[in-house]
Amino acid sequence: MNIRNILKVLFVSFSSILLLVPMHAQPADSSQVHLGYDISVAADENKAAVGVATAEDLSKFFTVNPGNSLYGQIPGLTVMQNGGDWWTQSVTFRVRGQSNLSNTSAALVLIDGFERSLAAITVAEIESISVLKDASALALYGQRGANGVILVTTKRGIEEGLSVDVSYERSFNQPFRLPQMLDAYGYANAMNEALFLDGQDYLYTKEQLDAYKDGTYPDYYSSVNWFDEALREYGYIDDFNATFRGGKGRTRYFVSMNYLGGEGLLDQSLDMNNYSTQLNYGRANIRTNLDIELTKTTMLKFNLAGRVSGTNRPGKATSANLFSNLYNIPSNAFPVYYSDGLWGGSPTYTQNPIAEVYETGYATSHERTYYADLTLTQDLKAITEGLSASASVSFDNNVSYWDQKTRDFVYSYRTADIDEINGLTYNEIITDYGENTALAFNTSFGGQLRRANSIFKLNYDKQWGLNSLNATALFHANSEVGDGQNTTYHRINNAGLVNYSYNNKYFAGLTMSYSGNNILPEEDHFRFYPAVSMGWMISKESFMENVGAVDYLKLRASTGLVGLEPDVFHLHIPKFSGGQNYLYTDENESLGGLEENRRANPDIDPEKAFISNIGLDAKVFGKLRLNIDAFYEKRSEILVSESNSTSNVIGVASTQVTDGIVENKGVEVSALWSNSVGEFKYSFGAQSSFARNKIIEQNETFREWDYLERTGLPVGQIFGLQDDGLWGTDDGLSGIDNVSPNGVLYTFTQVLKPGDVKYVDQNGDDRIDEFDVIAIGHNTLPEISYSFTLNLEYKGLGVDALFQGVSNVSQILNTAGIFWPLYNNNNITSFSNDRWTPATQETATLPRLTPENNDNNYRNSTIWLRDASFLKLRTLQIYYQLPENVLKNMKLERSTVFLRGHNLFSIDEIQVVDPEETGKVYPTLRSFNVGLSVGF
Amino acid sequence: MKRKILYFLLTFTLITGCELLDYSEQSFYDDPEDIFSNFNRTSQFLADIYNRLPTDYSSVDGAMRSAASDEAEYVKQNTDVQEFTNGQWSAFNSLDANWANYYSGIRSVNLFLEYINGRTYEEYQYIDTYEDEMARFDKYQYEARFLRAFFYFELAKRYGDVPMPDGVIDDIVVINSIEKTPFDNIITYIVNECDAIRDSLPTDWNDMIYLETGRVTAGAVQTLKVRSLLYSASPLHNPTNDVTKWEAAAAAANEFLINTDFNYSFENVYYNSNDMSQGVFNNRESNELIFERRQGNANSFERSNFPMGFEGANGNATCPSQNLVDAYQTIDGYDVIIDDNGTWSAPGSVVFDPASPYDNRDLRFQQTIIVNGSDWKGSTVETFYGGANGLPVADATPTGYYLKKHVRQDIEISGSNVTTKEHMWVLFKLGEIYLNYAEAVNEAYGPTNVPGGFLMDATTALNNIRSRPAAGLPPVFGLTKDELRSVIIRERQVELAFEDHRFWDVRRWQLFDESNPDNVTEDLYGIEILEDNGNFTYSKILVDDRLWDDKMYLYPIPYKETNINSNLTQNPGW
Repeated sequence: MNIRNILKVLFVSFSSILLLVPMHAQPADSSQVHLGYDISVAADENKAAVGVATAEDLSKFFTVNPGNSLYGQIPGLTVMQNGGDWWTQSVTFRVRGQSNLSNTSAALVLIDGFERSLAAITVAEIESISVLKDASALALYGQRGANGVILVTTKRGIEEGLSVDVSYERSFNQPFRLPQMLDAYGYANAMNEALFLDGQDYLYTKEQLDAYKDGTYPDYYSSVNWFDEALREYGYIDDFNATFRGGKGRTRYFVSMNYLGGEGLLDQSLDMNNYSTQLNYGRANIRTNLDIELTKTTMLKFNLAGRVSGTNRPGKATSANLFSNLYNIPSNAFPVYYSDGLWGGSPTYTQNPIAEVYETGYATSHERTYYADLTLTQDLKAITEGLSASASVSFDNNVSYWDQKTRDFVYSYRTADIDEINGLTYNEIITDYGENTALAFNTSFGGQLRRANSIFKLNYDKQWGLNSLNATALFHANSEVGDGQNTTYHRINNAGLVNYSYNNKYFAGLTMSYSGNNILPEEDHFRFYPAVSMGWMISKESFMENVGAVDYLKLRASTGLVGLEPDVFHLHIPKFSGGQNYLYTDENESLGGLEENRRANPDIDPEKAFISNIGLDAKVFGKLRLNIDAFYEKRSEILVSESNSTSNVIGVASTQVTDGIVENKGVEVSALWSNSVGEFKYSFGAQSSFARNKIIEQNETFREWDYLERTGLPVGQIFGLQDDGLWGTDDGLSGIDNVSPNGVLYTFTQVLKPGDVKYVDQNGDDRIDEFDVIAIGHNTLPEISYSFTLNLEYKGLGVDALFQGVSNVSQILNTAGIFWPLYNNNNITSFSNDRWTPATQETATLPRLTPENNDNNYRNSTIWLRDASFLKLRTLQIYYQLPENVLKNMKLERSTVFLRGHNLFSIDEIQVVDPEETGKVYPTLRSFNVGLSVGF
Repeated sequence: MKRKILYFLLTFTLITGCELLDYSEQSFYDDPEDIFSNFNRTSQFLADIYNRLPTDYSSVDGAMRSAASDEAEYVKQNTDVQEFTNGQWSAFNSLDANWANYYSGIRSVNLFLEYINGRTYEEYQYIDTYEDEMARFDKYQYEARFLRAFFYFELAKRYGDVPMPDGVIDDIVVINSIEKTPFDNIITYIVNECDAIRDSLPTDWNDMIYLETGRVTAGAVQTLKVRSLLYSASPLHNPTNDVTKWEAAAAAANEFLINTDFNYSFENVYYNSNDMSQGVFNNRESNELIFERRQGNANSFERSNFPMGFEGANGNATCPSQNLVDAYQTIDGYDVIIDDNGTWSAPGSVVFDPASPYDNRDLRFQQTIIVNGSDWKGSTVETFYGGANGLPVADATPTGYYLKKHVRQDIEISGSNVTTKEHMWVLFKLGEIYLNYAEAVNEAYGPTNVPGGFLMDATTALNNIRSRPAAGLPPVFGLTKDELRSVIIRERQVELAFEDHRFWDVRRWQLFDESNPDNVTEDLYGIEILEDNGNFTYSKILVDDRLWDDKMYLYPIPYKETNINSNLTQNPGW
């Protein structure tokens, strides 16, 4: 039974359970829905598709980067884990899948209304995260909205009093999965097998194999488990947090301080240096959010957040090259160090990862970030009742630099043969490389980014009779300055919003933006984006009065236009540069060339997303909250190359034209059932989103065969050859050429051998070549993502769990050394146990081993394609809230102790490594945490 | 008051805002005016156009185009050059993809001419070098026009009828519906252009202020005219055998030979791989050279073509064929043949020794081809089976021969002293003029007639090539028109071997037609040599069973082009 079926069964059973549970009544939700620009509407009046995660939802995760707390929290937001240094294990966000052709599909992230990095703040500062998904919300953002907007709102002060919360948490982490590398004996045997199957002589003799197995000559015949040598059992992170939330008189404040620091997975047990070479990270965050009533009609809002952070690592090895060495270097390459203490190494694998950790000095990086913004709001009822105005400015800055203290060291390469008769070594060759040097110092600038914004806003509210009207107009100027060329952006957005409601039953809205930037041509910077929306509170209709089971039922619909600025500057002007040189004169002197590189495309346009959405919010039986959204998006004006639609007779390299069209549609469902029986409280939640896109037009090159066409398929559809099993020893291969017995020419290899992949000749031209690839599997971006949450609580003792999974997603397992054995002199893992050998040819699923980079076997094909669906237990936590009588004695308001774990298990088909990260990087982590929080 | 402040603030930001949006960090010129208002940038733009001149140093996916003709076989299989002859060639798989390249060159010339027209650069007039710069600048337009004509010839020779866009066209609709211009009209255009610009260009740039040799000369212009007319008179483009076309070609060649301003003369050596100063190849200063495509220092051609087995050789070799070897006569003027039993003979020759079949032959033979027993870098080349440079050594020659012509033996490709040296590709040389003259005059007036104003008869022109010191063969005489044609065909095969002529010559003569008395096989032969105690036995072997189809007389237009533009009718058969 495959995972998808298991998941389906789980999903159906879960939904059925939900429907069987008994019900009670609860009041309707009255909270506000944030739309950005400090605009929010009452949830009842909201007509947009907005997904929300609250501080409470986020607090169920311990994360370095708040993005990692969003798995499965918001329907329509796909969150994908990436490997990498433990402090940067960033996530990829996709709002409603992907609607354009390039990789610039990232959503716009705004913190308190300004574009900022979510990774730069802490979970403790966050009040809520909202994801804007439909045109009525996104049209406000004009040329920046089409890929979705993620709004992060930080916490603010309270009217009166002070509440202080202090918490500490320690997290222990370990690799989520590491592949099982073969030991020296296994590797040497595999290499012999590979050589044999390629018709070459064995590299290792029986005596040598025995030496690997028995460890007879550890200097010459070593067997090293590099992961065991380099890594310790676990890394850890400490997180201290203190927040002060209060207010008095005209002032409200929220202050938070956070320190997070931790150490990575590197083993540091050899006490060799007076400094650490561990993969360390530390950071201190502070935030002050102030609200001050300057006069009775004037409010001042001031937010200042900052962070200082730093990392530490071995001098010459980033975690990326360190881990790629740990994966790549075969167990028998050389010992960690020889019996005389000299480091091992070899001409092929020059970087002994253990020596790289200890002997290359250390490097640190330092980063400073501050985010400051100030908003002045003036009530203008003196002019007109209901009118107010505000002005905001923000200044953000980020800068980083590197400091490296590096040195070189001596390592040695030693080989010896073993005498067949007496079993002794002879012909020992010792070659030393490198030299031991003193530390050298180098400091380099990492980069800076400055952003500034100013926003002016007018707001008008009016009620008359059963009518209510709200209108907002705003002007927003944004500047962003990075390093180097074409990293400076200037943007202006003139936007407005009108909301009307009648009797709290019928709602209508209009959103508009006229936005521009310096990417578009002069005199043509601006584009207009309108969207309309409607809402109908069905549950307030008289005919619903007798339907007792339904407490709340609202229908929403919206449609409109949103934009996305081009990611290439200056396409509207021709480009003259570069060119080829020529040689003149008796001295054959070179004269540089200049050429017309690109025609102008005066019709440059931002991407245009036409998004329609229909949604339903319901609360039934008092306990079940249900949200459903369905959407259709047509993205046009996507930049694609002109070359496929323009005759080359034009005589100049093609420019990009806005001919691309992608269609995207999907549905999101979320349900939350919460109830309590006596002191037993419980809730179950489930959410699922599905988005499928299709390329309608992309100026695709002409394909001789229909099945090669990418248009009509999803963006990023994987293409590869279709395998027809493996060639066997009895299949009649000549063994000297690349023609199969049935006369098919295998163009990717010179000689076709038993154990090679047999492919389907799709076009029947008796050639296996690049014209035989077909669409295989799905895409690396999942179409379906879903989650289940569970909360049980009894007398302060509670359990939280969150399962998250994705489906309709595929991976080509092509990582050399993990999945492609021996490729590029890389390693071999237990993944290759299913390989073809003459003995296992009946059951083998993977091609034979070969010491060469065999182009026939190692290429995108169904042999390497896997369903990358998974279901992970993202979080499981047990907490205990101390009872009131105990708290009173300790003079505390509240206190919780908790144990929790993240990424505890995954059900998937890939198994060897994390299905979300198949590369050779610092692994994704599983963690076990213990923590305490106290409030007074 | 408050309202005023607000109003002021809004207005202020709107104004400053819009200026902000015009901010730009572009690092290129966005207006042709920026290029052509400056002497240096103008000459750089022209340099880029010169760079589009072709060479056949490994021009087709690592191979010489020669390997797509009966001159040679390329060692590496599964490469583009093999697809010319194995049936893989199609409109979808268009080889030698120069369609876009030459149209880029043509657009560049059109743009260049449009923007330099009438410029006087008055703002530079007080600079010392103004006069000199202007003198040089004044020639640019003629150089550019030659290059454009050259590119059109390259296109027409490949595709037959091709579109001729009128100037710089940016309108996609116009470009995507442009019609073809007939081959003969393109030739007429080239000839008219050549006539218009020839006298405006120097015969030798050494006479000019800037000594900018390497630029187009009057001789180059005249040669392009001769070659264009010769192609247009040839059977492929002259199915009715309109003799006036031959007459025009003959007249153009005669114009060249009687022009007293031209100071061209033959070298006494055909090629010396150790000393470039002796022949015309890789020798910019040769008197035999009319126009070349220059290159810088390199050794990649040597790495490709040094016999496999020499350290540093990478086996991307274009290996001469037995078909070509058979075209070299003995030094006393007799044909050499090898029969099915592997016996060499040269009936009539008094110098030929079947035991040393590669000796005593046309002097150009061993200057073009490395044979078994040739000396190379101080070693004896062994192409026999089991020899140091023969099969089964990986990537050794499949034909039994390696290329010598163009390959510089004075380059080191191994050891600690790897060197790179200058190459240049001969586009036009004096020999071609004589051969074109001989062919055109023979077709127009017969083998021995000397029409009024003409310099010599066809046979004499041929003997000027054949019997010059660099070739050393006895002259031919008393041949009929048909006999002389056959001799000219063979003479071109030998004299112009590996100069990117043969591929085109067999097409314009339609030599693959069974009915053509001079017809040749499309199959590619080599020699297999077995060694036994220092004695060699030879057998002629089929190296490549090649496929020919008459549609291949012209290239297919890339499918993408005919798909976009329905007015671009595909060439017949494709």
